[in-house]
Amino acid sequence: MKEITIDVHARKDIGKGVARKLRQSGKLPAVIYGHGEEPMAIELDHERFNATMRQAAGEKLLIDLNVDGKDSGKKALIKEIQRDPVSGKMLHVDFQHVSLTEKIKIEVPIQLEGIAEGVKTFGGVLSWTIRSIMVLCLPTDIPDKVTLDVTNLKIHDSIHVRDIVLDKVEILSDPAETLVSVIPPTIIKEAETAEGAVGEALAGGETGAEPEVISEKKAEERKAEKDKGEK
Amino acid sequence: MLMPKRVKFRKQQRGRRNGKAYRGSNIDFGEYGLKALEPAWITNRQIEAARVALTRHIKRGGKVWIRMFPDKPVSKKPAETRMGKGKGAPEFWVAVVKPGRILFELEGVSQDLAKEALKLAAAKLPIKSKFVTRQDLARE
Repeated sequence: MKEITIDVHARKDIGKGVARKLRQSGKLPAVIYGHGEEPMAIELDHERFNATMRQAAGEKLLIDLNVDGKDSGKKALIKEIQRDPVSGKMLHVDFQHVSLTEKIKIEVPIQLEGIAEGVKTFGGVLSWTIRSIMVLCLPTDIPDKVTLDVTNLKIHDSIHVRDIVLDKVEILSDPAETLVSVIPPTIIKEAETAEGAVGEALAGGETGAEPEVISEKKAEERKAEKDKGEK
Repeated sequence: MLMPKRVKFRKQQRGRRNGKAYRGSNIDFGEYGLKALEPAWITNRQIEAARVALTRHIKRGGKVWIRMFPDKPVSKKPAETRMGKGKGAPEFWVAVVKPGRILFELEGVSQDLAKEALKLAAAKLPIKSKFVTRQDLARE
């Protein structure tokens, strides 16, 4: 875990209009909360924070927040970064205030190492089901990532959460959950690959059967009940 | 071809396509994806054509996820019909796609192969789209 210091400014105004104006002026709206304290709206320099995140390259950061030039003594973790779905630009950051003596729940990403034997030799597909696990530990003990060696995995072999061993960290995820497995290759049937078959499948849709309509069924049932009652 | 098994009503109004896709805009299952950059109605035929192009190019191995579903019926009036006499019959199904939506996801193949396969799939769709990876989405 890397420790860094970030300069932020407290802000009184909140809301989407204010946030938009901040973004236009090159600032990034953010909030800090947690550890039983009132949430505090803050703003930070977008470019500088972006550069910091690039340098960190996925590493977990323990952040010292300098609020308005003074050391606030607050240690924080990045809880969430909201991004624009099209451009990927950062829109808002959530910092979580943490105490260095209290354990916290946090997600740790999983990284795979090597090429599985089942993939290399038998042409299987590596199915990576869960990409992070939930752990409980002190903020200073948070691992940056959990590395799993998949070299020995053959077809139908898998690695579960219970196979992970970590120091000073308690794993909260279900031990029976599968993280990685090697599945047999899917072979496309000849009929599917034939030009004609694909063309037929595409043409068939337009005149394809219509789905069942629930409201019509209900209306029919109601009518049948009414008829029964009258009799 | 994709379409719902059962629906509450046979016909729907057209609706609007404003805004961006905040949901379904991250790669959640695979390693690579195709991200929509424009809003559109994508028909079930277009989705099927893209899926076929994708699976054919990766041949064997790899896993594909289709991250959109055509759940909106589109009706049409027959040719040379006078106006009025009610709404036309349902003709086909579309998925309403907004900018930012991940359309397809792919896993278990190399990045070059995934890029090429998704490029072929993108050519079957009526909108501009871009190739994205998990790492791309985590950084600006």
